[in-house]
Amino acid sequence: MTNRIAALGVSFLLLILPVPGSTAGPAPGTLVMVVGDNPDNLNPYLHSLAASSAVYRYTFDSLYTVTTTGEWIPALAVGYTVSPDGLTWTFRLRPGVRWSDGAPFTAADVKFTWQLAANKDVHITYATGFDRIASIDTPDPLTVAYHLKEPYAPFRDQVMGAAIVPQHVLGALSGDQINRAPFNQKPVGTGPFTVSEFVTDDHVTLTANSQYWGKRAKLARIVVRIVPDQNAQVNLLRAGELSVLNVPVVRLDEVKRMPTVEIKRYLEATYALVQLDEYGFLREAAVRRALDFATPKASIIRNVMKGQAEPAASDMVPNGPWADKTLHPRPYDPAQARRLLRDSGFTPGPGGVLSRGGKRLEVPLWTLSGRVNFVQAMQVLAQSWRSIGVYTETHAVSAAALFGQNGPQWDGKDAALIFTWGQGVFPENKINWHSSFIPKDATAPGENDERYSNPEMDRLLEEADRAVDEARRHAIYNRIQELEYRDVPVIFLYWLVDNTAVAKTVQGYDVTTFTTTPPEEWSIR
Amino acid sequence: MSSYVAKRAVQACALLLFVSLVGYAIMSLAPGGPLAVYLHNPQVTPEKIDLLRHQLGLDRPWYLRYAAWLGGLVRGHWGYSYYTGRPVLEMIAERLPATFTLMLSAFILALVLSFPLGVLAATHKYSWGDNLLSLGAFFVWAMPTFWFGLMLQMTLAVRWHLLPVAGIHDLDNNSARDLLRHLAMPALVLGIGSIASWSRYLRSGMLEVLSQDYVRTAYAKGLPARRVVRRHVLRNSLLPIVTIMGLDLHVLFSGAVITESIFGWPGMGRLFLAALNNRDYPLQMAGLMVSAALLIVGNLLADLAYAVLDPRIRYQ
Repeated sequence: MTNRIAALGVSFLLLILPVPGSTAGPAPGTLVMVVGDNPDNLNPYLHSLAASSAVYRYTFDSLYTVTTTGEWIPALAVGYTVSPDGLTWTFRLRPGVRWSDGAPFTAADVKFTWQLAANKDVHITYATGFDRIASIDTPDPLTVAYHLKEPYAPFRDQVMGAAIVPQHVLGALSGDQINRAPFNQKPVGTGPFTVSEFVTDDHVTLTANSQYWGKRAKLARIVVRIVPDQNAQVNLLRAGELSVLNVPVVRLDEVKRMPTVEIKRYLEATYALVQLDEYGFLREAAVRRALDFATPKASIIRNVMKGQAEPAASDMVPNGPWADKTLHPRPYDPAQARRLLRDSGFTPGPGGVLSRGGKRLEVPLWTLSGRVNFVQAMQVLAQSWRSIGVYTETHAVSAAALFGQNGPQWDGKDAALIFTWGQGVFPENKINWHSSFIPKDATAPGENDERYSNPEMDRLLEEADRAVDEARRHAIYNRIQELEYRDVPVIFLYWLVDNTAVAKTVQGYDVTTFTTTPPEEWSIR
Repeated sequence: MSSYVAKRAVQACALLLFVSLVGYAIMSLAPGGPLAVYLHNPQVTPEKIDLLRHQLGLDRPWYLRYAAWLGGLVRGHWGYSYYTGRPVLEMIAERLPATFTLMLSAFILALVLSFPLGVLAATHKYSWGDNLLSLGAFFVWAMPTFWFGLMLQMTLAVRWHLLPVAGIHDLDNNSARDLLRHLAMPALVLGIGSIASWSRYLRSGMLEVLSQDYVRTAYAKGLPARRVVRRHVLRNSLLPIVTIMGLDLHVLFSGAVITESIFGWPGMGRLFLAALNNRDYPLQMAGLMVSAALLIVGNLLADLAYAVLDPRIRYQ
């Protein structure tokens, strides 16, 4: 019996081992990437996972598109004009564009996209900017005029870059039918690739779109594999089964040693911050400034983030067109911090803790327990703040506890919260700094949780909404960033860094904070 | 026998009903909920969240939602996933083959390996081979599944290029051999715990039987050792092992969650894990029901197997 089992085992091994001379790795003309989640919905207005946008970005176009340097260039539109009152935006559409099923693309599709985003029966998850639209005119098939309810300059960045979906496929469906449409798994788009196969939880195959209006894609296929485990993803890369991978920091050194890949390092448009909730002493800008001086950002970037972060001076991504390049993060200067606090009337008491009017300067630090980097940064920060005489306790808790109604934001006491904010690359930060966005409770609208209030800031943010002129907008946002720097509504800690490994066989692929090079230009040897 | 099975089936339904009620209540009362993912997304306004809440029926009390869900379940309508908008049954049916392939392979692998190992260990008690197997079994129990899976990937796939790292098929290759190549590592990872425990149970069961008088009699009447072990010892030590196997059916299902994640296997484990993370209630409940049903069915199968294995056991 034992012999029979052994024979069975050996023949099984022979069966599964590779045929000598066979090669691993993807077929020619196929670029393979990976996402961690099963894309939940490939309709750009219905999805809730980043894995979905990682796939549908190849199948849809917007009126304008962003380049790797952060500029807008025409895509489905060829140009636009804005009326002097900032209320009417008129786009001229590109002629001769076809959907991947062959139907012509017209102004009706652009109008339908707005109707979809505004449809209350559809499970819409993305509608930023669309709520500002009062109506849309389509005088001819290649002209679209948006009429806004009020002047809103960020409209350009939000709506120009929004994917256009086909009216001829979805227009006749009810809201409920759209929620469950086959389109959500196999969309029809105008982009350089189309979804030709979607095997749930395994892979999505995108094939070059023969109807594409731009240059025909050099690749025959892009395969997006779905593998949840990050370590398994790195193993796939190391086994030569992936062309592109965003590498987790813990395995970066190992991947850097691979001779077959090149690492692209770039900033993510997400910053880490210390939010200063202004209830007591924190309502004084001098106190907040002192805490900023006592925050060792460089040390946190070096020791906690292992160099995978860049210093932050404001909420505009530093390599983008909107960052005020004259601003630099406050240096770590505890002596200056102590001086500022002494000048504000604080005197050291028992244990060196500062107090004024019989009240101790207490600023507890809070962060998310699941985020190791934040917890470590919090400890560094606490040490440093204690050294200048601030009484600082540390708390690592769940997101529900941190942001919830019973959390540190609503107890009426000073607190400092460490977390990240996905700012994006275009300026629209009214919800963060305008006093009208100070929320009344944990479920109320508004993200000005720090309770920052400055009439000049309010006025600038309102003006920025109305300023359609580019130069004027830049001037306003520079002043907004100066105020952020001067008043320290939050302490800007650092911008996150991403590292993408690209196989050396891939050509024409690059990635920056803003986007990748156009996918139709990628090729593989 | 058939009346016994009918009785057990009725009990199983009552049990499932109870599990579903408790599961639904806990799920609904837990903080968070399906809309929590949107709460800190600045692009989703509170009005939008209220609207979604209403569209998904989450503004009704949980017991009304439970009643509606149960009514649908009985009529074969398991609801729609909150996230994909697709019918839950369709999503499960899509993954069922992959999960059952993996579970069955792990089960067969465990069966084929644990029996010879258990028999060898018992018949060669305290030999170096037995000690080695004991050591191996304890090592397997102590080691985390995900670690074992990743180590296999790093060695067999990354270093030696013998097997593919993850997935169910290579691109453009749907052959059975390709499936087996992809199946080998996950099936081993999923089954290794069962190999260890079944061989240990078999060993201790056999050791007990080996000291029985009838075994001594069998030897005394001159039967060859192989025949004694197979006919008298092995068969009589099967009962505890069959119980474990029945219960392990469910362990294999929950173990598949981790194994499927590491090996990118498109099965139900991952589906239900994602449903749990997203608080996708209809999918989450379906997962709970499938898992509970497997546990109950596994137990029932084990009980029925007793009657086959042991003539003294008769069910009324």
